[in-house]
Amino acid sequence: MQSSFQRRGRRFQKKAAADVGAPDRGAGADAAAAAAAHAASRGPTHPSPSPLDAVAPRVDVPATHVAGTRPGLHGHTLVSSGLADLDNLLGGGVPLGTVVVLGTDGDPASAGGNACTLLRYFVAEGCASGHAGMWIHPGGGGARAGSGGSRSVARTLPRVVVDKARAEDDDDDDGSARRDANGDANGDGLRIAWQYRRYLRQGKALDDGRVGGARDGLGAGLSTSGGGGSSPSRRRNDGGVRRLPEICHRFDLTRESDPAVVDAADLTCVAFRTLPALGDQTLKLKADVDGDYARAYERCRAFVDELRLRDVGSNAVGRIAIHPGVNTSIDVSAARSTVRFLRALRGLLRGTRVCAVCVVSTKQGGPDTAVSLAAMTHVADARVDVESLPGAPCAMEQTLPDPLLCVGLVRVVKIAFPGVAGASPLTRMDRTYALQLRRRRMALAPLQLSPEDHRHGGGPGASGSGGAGGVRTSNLGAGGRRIEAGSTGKKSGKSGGLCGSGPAGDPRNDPLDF
Amino acid sequence: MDEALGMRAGPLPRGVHALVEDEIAAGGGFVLAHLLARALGRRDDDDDDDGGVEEGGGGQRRASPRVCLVCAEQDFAHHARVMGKLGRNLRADVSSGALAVVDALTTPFAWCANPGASGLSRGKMGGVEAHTRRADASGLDGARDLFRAIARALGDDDDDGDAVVVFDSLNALADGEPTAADADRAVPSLLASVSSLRRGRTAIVALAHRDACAWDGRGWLDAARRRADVVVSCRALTTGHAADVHGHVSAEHRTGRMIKTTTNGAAAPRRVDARFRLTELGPKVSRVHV
Repeated sequence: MQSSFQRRGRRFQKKAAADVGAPDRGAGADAAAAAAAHAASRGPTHPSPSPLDAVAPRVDVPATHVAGTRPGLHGHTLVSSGLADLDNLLGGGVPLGTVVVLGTDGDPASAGGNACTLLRYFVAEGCASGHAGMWIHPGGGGARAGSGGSRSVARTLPRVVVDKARAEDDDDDDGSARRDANGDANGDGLRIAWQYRRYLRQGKALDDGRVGGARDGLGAGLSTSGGGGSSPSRRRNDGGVRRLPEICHRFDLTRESDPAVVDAADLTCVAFRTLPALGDQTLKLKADVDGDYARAYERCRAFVDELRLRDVGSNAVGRIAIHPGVNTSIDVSAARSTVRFLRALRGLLRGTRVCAVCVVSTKQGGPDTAVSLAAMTHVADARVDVESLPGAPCAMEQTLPDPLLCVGLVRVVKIAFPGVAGASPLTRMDRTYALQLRRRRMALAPLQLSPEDHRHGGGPGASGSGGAGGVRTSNLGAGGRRIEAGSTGKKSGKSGGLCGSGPAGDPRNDPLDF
Repeated sequence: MDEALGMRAGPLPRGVHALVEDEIAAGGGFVLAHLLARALGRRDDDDDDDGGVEEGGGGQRRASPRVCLVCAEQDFAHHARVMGKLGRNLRADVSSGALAVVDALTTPFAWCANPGASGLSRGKMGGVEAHTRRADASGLDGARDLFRAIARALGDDDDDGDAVVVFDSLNALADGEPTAADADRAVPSLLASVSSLRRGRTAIVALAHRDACAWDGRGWLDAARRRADVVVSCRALTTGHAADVHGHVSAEHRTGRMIKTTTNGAAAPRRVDARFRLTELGPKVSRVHV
């Protein structure tokens, strides 16, 4: 007996097979390079010149599968960001031809922030998948990976974990009682606790579904207990539905990349700022930001052109990781240059098989900074902010899952990849997740938000429990946006008499309020 | 959407200016797509019986205007996909000549480096500098060259037909200027020049990101707002997003040229508020009655 998913998948396969031969597919953003290749190899496919060719060249979507890529919605080709949780957050991965901005509120020139760690994941994933890459870092030196001054930079990439069993062992560090003290998962001594924990896990999954974290939603597969979706121990019965292939590798943050792997990788590391500019005064540095961005743009263009020439038969995929280290919160002209660079980069990458991730500073410095940030957000296709946790204890810690593991917050500000006509996945709710540092890797986990209790605080400045269906986090950027706990935020404090809401009181302390 | 926003149905009135303002949390791309579809009119296969002549708001029948889409923020493939999901084939419109596209994204601000116009050598410019006008260039060269590109795309200026120019982002044009003061001069001048094409029968539809305008550089946005006949503003909910409402959209009819005429003689409201919800098949807009 065939399920509806199987029948739909068979229909989709037939349609895809028919569309491969169609010349006008309409997916210009992903396969313009393939069009150039076909144009070079086959000659003029369409003898009659059309005004459409000038603005939207006819392209053929490559039928061959490229390692490290998978098809996405709206005709995109997705590559992994290196972190499965972030892939799920972005809707499956980073589409080719797009620019994703990673915001950091730390020192923009520092290479040790969490945003830079995510950028390293992105670069390391490209090396592991065999993609061509270019890493523009703020430090000095510039050469191919494994030679000259960039050797130390490329070595900072996390090492790929090859052994799956070991990865499972590494991932099982979240305090779960999957094994008892004797290493027996079926031990009788903790069987009751094990069953109870499993019950809690199911309840947690239900909570994830409430915030839209169901496995078919935006946050599908977001780990609450660690690991990506490929873990056999966490494999669930999917009803016979075939899942998309996993394209994300596992990395070990505690170990540096293998030098042999770095030498073999098609990775070019260049410095954003030239060495003489490092010692310049502020006034001269201000004028040099434009020049640095111009040089970075030229390198990106050369990289894209080289990949396009190389792409004739291989449909190669490229990644550009940019960490300029420019503090845009104090320099308005630098922020304007950043916006200009991102816009030029976006135009450069459109229609190519290259995607870019750029780290920018989101530190608030005044009204001009907010405007510049908004301009950067409009220019980018997606923006994900990585924010640090406040040092002092605050009410935010109550919402963090496993607070001792949390090192920051990840807030998705914008997801608007090209070709999407409807609502962004963010239109249902704001998205803030806890960034956890597990033993050997990073993971994203949903916040544990409770429904609103109007009697406590109630004002917009209240922390801990705030507005409709959520809490207000004081450190979550401008505007004090609310985070909704439920899918619609309908479960408010006014629903005290409704079935399932339980008696009036703090819902977090009420066992009946699930 | 026209009904909810109190706008007159049918093709855009000639020479009208429509400004769409949005922000990050509430994008106004769906309004721009709707106005672009209105500008393009009905599809050719639908109006075979009337030879491409459409009925205007006042009941008169006139030919479909020639539309120029200035892609400064998104490429044409994006617009084609979005409009395709809304039931409009932009590629067919380009092939038929009804739509002309000025690509300002993949070749951003290339007109600024036109040696014939600005006197600067393209070869001397590299990187981002090639895509932005230099500070030492003579004023308004970038806007002037863009105007020339739009005029070429629209064709003969002596043509009796109407024209519609759609800018998918005014911010992209303003950001190409070296300073905010230059942007304050360039964007209004460009809008004024474009509206004078075809003897003043050119309508303009423009999208601007309100939150991305610098406080000291809002001059061009204010100027565009003063010039507009209708300002459609998209705002996010202050409480975040809901499942059934994604944001507010309001239409401020400044001149009444696009306002819907009432049949019962009641005064039409100058400002209409509505809520919108975006779906894959288009926006759902419901009017808010106060």
